[in-house]
Amino acid sequence: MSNSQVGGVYQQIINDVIAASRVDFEEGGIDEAVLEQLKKGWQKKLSQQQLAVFPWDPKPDPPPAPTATAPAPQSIPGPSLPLHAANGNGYAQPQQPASQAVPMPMGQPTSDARIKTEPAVKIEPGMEGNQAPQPISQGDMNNIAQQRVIAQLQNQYGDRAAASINKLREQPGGGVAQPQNQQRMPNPSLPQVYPAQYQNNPQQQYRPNTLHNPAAHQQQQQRAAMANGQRPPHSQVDGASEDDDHVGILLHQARNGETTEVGRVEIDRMLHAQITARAKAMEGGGLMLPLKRTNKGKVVPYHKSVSNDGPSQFDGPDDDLKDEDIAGSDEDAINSDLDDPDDNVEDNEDDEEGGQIMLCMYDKVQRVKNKWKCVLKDGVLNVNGKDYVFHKATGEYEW
Amino acid sequence: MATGASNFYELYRRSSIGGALTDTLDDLITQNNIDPQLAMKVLANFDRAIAEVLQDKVRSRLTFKASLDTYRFCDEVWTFQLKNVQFKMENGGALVTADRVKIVSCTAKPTGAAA
Repeated sequence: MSNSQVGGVYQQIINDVIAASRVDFEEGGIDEAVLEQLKKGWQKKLSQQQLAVFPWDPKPDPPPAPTATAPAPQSIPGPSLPLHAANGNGYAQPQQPASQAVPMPMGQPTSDARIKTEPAVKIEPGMEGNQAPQPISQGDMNNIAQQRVIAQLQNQYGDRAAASINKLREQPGGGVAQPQNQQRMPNPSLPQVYPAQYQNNPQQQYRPNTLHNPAAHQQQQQRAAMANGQRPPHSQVDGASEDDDHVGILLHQARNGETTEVGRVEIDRMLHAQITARAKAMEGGGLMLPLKRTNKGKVVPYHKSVSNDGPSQFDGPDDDLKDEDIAGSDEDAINSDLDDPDDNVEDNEDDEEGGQIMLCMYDKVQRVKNKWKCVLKDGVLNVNGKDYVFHKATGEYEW
Repeated sequence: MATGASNFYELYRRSSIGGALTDTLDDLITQNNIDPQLAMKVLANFDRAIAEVLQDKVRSRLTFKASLDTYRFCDEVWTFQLKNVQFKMENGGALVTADRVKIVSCTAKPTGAAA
């Protein structure tokens, strides 16, 4: 079969070209390393297309390194263990329970310490007495906060987070705990309670407000509360957490009840979108701007960041508007589309074959009425993502 | 016979191996590792190498049947657009089908490649 020949044939072609080009490279004063680079790049590009089995490709895939086993013993002991997880190793243990535990707003605090449940979030003010309250000092907070963020980073991004984790550790007191946290700490309306066993809990619910800069903080708090459709006194899902100064990660609940964890960057983005949206709404106030523009300006940026993951629990009141407005924003992007159709038309001629092409020499092309007969030679053929080579080919077709 | 690579068709540059080479050369030019003239020389070397290797090393045969959609003959180059193509590899017996295949074919007669 000629596909099995392709690897060897291509190998030979590459070697021939590289050998012939060596002289040209020397004459041009180009380092031989570049020639080697050319060969490697060429082979790599061919391998990527998976046209055939190439001799330079490694035969079997190396078995994946068993990374998960090493850190496991560390994570099992639970929260009593300091949570700077082993660097570079995924700390995947709590992820699974976490997503199950959080969606039920009034879920009983489980005794399994590994679960991310955060009782403080869910307790109604009247029930606080049931827990053993333990106020946490500022210093502890920062420390815990840092650990939580590290654990979370590790959880979510695994190895890739190593760099940012290191950076975090270098910052004394944790770079994450920002001034607003301290600001919010002494909030008198709700005593900050932390059951002792949860002090080291890696992930906590995290209100977006706590990340915002102090200047706009008060306003932002109110606006966000409005925007999220939360009336702090009786919101069960996340009302209490409004006043929590947990530093951790926001839990993002989609309409279907699925919870996903949202990283700091995403939170920042969401906040930013909310603030800009709010600012715009205030600015125009719906009074000074034409009706069309007020609607657009207000809502479109507001949902932008969230739209990828579907509706979130934080934008309840505006859910109805959302889809229409997003559709509207897509239509606005028509300018960029205007150029595309032209490109597509030009591409079509080549795309029609979908890269299925035979390049060869012909010895004979004969036609009798509508019957054609061709004798071809020395061809390369690309069909269905595979390459074939042939020395001689005969084709018969009817027109 | 290797008086100059210009005796060889540039036809095969459109193949996947030729495209991979062209892309790689483009990358090298973009990174200022080589200049375009050198890249042209490499491509000329490729024109000759692939013609020679296909001619000397490949022994497999192929037959195919199809319905011909369009044909064109210009400057001694045949171009066929085929539909519902069935390829049959001779020594493997493998059958490969495709909806559409385009054939670009240069005349084998007057090339210097045969030498």
